[in-house]
Amino acid sequence: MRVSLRWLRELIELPEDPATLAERLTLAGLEVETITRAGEHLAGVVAAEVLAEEPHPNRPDLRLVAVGDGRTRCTVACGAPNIPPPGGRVAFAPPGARIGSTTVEARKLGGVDSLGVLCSEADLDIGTDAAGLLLLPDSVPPGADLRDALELDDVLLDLAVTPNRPDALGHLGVARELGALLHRPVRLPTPPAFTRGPREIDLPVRVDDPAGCPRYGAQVVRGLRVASSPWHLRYRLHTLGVRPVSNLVDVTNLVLLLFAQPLHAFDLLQLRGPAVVVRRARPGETIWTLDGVERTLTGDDLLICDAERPVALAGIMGGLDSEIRDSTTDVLIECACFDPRSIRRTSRRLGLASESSFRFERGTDRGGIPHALAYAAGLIADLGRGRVCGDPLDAGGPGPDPQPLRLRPARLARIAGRPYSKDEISTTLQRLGCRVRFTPDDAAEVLPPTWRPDLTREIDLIEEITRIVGYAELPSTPPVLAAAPRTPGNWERLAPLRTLLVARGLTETVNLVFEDHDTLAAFGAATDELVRLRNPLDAARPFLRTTLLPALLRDLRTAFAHRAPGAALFEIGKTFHRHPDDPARPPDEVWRLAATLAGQRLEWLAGNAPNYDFYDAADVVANVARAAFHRTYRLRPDPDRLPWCHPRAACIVDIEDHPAGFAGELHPRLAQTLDVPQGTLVLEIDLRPERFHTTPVQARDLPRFPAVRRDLAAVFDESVTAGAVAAAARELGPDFLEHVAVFDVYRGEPVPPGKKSLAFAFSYRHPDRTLTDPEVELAHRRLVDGLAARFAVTIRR
Amino acid sequence: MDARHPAPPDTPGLPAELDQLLARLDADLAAARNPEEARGAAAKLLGRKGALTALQKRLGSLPPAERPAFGAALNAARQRAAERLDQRLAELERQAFERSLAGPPLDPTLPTRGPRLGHPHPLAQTMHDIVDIFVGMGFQVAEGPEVEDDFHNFEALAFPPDHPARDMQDTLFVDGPGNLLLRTHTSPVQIRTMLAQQPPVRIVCPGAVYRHDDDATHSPRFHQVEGLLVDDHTSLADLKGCLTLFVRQFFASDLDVRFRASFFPFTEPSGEFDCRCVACRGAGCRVCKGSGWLEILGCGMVDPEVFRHVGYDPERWQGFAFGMGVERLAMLRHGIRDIRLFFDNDLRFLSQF
Repeated sequence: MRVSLRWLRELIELPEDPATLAERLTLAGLEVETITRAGEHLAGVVAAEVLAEEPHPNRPDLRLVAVGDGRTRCTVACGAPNIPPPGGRVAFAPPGARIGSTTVEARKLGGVDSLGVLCSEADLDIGTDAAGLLLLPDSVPPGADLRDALELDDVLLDLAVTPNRPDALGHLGVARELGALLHRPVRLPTPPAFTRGPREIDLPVRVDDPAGCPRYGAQVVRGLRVASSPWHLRYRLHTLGVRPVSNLVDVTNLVLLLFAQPLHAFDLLQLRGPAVVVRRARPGETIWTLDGVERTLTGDDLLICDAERPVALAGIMGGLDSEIRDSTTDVLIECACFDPRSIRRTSRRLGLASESSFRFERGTDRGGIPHALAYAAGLIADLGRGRVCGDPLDAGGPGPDPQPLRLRPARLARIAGRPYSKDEISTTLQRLGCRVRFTPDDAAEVLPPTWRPDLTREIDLIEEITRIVGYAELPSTPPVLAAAPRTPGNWERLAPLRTLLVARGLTETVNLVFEDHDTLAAFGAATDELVRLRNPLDAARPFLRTTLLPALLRDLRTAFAHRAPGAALFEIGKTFHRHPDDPARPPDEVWRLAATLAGQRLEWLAGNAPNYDFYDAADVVANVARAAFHRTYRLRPDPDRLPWCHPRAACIVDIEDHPAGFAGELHPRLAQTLDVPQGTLVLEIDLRPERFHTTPVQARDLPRFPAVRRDLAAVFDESVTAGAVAAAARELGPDFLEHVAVFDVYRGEPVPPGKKSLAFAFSYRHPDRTLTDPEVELAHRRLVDGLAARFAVTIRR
Repeated sequence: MDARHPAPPDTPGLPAELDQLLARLDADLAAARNPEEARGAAAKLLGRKGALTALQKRLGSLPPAERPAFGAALNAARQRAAERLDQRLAELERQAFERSLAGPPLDPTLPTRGPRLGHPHPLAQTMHDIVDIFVGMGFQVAEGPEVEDDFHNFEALAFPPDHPARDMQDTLFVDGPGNLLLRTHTSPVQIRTMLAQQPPVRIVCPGAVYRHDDDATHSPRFHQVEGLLVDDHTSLADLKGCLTLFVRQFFASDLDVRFRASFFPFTEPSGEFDCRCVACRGAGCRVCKGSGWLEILGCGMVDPEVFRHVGYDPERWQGFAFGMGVERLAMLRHGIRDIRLFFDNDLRFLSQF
């Protein structure tokens, strides 16, 4: 909402400078977003008198006009069609004058010097009329600065009006707010005096839907002449961002900007009957609205109709048929109020919003209808030289008497955190237009003004008092919270994982969650588990992610597009999975951790750093398993379940024997499709809360007896994993086999192709005594023989 | 000659010869470049075939009266030779040690070894920092689903159907039955918490939220941290104190803050906190759009209507709620101009943090 300070000053005494006023409004809740000045873009433009006029010697489209600014005489070439005869006043920008960022210079036109420019409204950016020169009244003395002569200077405040304050969508409401803040009276604007003539026309108004239209006021004005509005009205609308149209239409806009009361003016002669009926539309009924669109309606839409057909979409937009035209002489001015929700539903459904609907859906001042209507009628009659015919029509009236609200000062003090005196309470509320009376039990009975539809509860009054007195007047007391046990949750569990992965060299990402079907399917999502958005931002990506990897891989692609030698990225976030058998149920939301690594490892001298490989991905898994779960993890090849991975590097991650994710190399074909480097590694782990370690670690006693180490190197088939050998060793070894560790893998001479040599260290330790050499020897030999038999290998001893 | 080694009695020729031998030993030791050479030099006197051993053999051929003096002179010379050797060996060892320390210094400007640290995302980091401040005040972290229903996201928060307040939050809806949507704020977590427990409640709710919006200052997914404190006495003045403390701790302790009135459907009275523009310190600049103030967070006293929706008696319980955009705070703190940088995850951006 843009307000003119000049206009506000017609309604209330405001000697303060604009910045001070803006701050007062902002602190009280009417935030001033910007302050701009009108008129400042002109410098040196003056009123001038036309002294003489003659044809241009070389240019038939131009005239040479001699003008005087009271001191000097200048000749200007001008092509306007409406050059006034000598004595007329025009707006003149002499050389050196400034219009916006342009400085006027003397120049030759058709070989003749032209000393300056005669201007139209549009030239000066003070209006939209570009058809001819801006003509000034003869009362303006030549040489007067145009900014003074036309009162161009103004300060415009752009207010961010919150939805609860429809009253502030008009200048009067803003003036009332300032009145309450500054303790000053507000002058209610009155129209030019007019006398009501006889009724002339019998025009019945029938409201079929009083819930949708609680009050419908209307006034007939006849004998009008449509013309352009006077300068000040046009300029006021222009600075407030409204295009001036004609005297009749401009008045309706002026009233809207003044009282926040939308009006509609019908061409009375186009209204059949003439009659007005307010009713719901019949399903499928149509209306052509002012913007030239045919709208198809539902039974929920409210219409203004004449005796035969719809003539306006109530509160939103008028119909094309009954629009004011240049030939209009008789008008019906509608000044009504409508059910905000109904207006909003129709406006949303049709995608049709207007200054009217914006105000009606927030609520208008039902009690202010008669005054706004009289103001509009008087001004229209005055500007169009017509006559106001009879008393206004008023269906619905002011409505039932409102019930007063009860305000308990003790409750106010408890909510605010400080007491307010009875005097503070009543004067503050009275300045807002409330009627206040204290009851014997010390509560205030408050009757809010009709222009504040938001004041319906005690808490609303509490807010008014605290904000008008000012939040600056509140004490600032940090709350004292009693100590209470806190249970760590997901947030506390996930936080260390971020730190861990960052310490391991991975960079954290935060991605959007919108994906396309095919990519999710490529990572194993079932179509019926996908959550689809009804109104996605990007139609190509309407689904919520079921895996974090596609977005991470896009980030990886970006990194390589920017020539990163390598990248290691992770994200901790949610994936979304619909219940196929119960789609109305909210989807499962699963916290996951995913990472991708590709290219050169970021370490030591880059020339020596190897590329990330599968074992780096396994390392991330190991660290997460250890840090998050304090548990054992296992990676086991399972390419059948991981078709998006390279069949040679596709592993399920088991945490404590339960599958919890995967790690592997991205399938070469998928890597190609997604445009990421071959050899890119991916992993994703499910971070369900139940997997997390919750009980404290229980410490074991330190060993009291020495361990004995025996090593074993043997050649195994490539298909045998080190883990399988270790597991077999734990199974076959004695109870006092404490630990098995693989410490070397070797391929190449003399190991035959298809085979590999694995070296293990076995650590034997008895908890209660020192082991003897013979018993270790015996146990180790049995273990080695057992392994040799199980894996059909020859042991080098 | 010291007292322990008195000069031998008159032994013609011998002292001079011994002095010569010792002098040669000194020269040989000085020339020795390592312990082996030093020992070799000493062996020429002290070894089985050494000069002193040879002189020793002359002892028997001397008259008995001369023998003690001769022997004493020899012993003294032997002892002195051994001392000289030890001295030289110690010196050589010291020299070798000194040499072992010499050489060009290592290059400390080379890249360090091992995986370099990765980078925490500035959004996640900011969100953790915000939460930590409130946890320090005694709030408990609470989280909730990102796919919500109309009741928890709007209705229970006093956004009536067909109300313009819903325009403030353009919603992304889930296709299909169930009236599901992506939460437009983290406030549903407050509702879920209040439905699940009785006061006192003091929670801080971090999380991702979604709106149908995409430009330089809006992302369809963004993050909020909200808080809720409900008991039987917490007031607007407490709210002011709590959030003033937060803003000062998050930015800088001497930052000017102001608390002004505003509107939210689920709080009343409502307010917003501004702080002096961190970029221009209040002079007015592009960041604060010339006002000198930056909007930091929205807040207010929980509306009685909300309490009614969750079954709390509004006459008995009261408290405040607040909410802030993590992106905005991260942008202000780090001087980031475009919100999309957070979600582009360009390593050139992320690796600055």
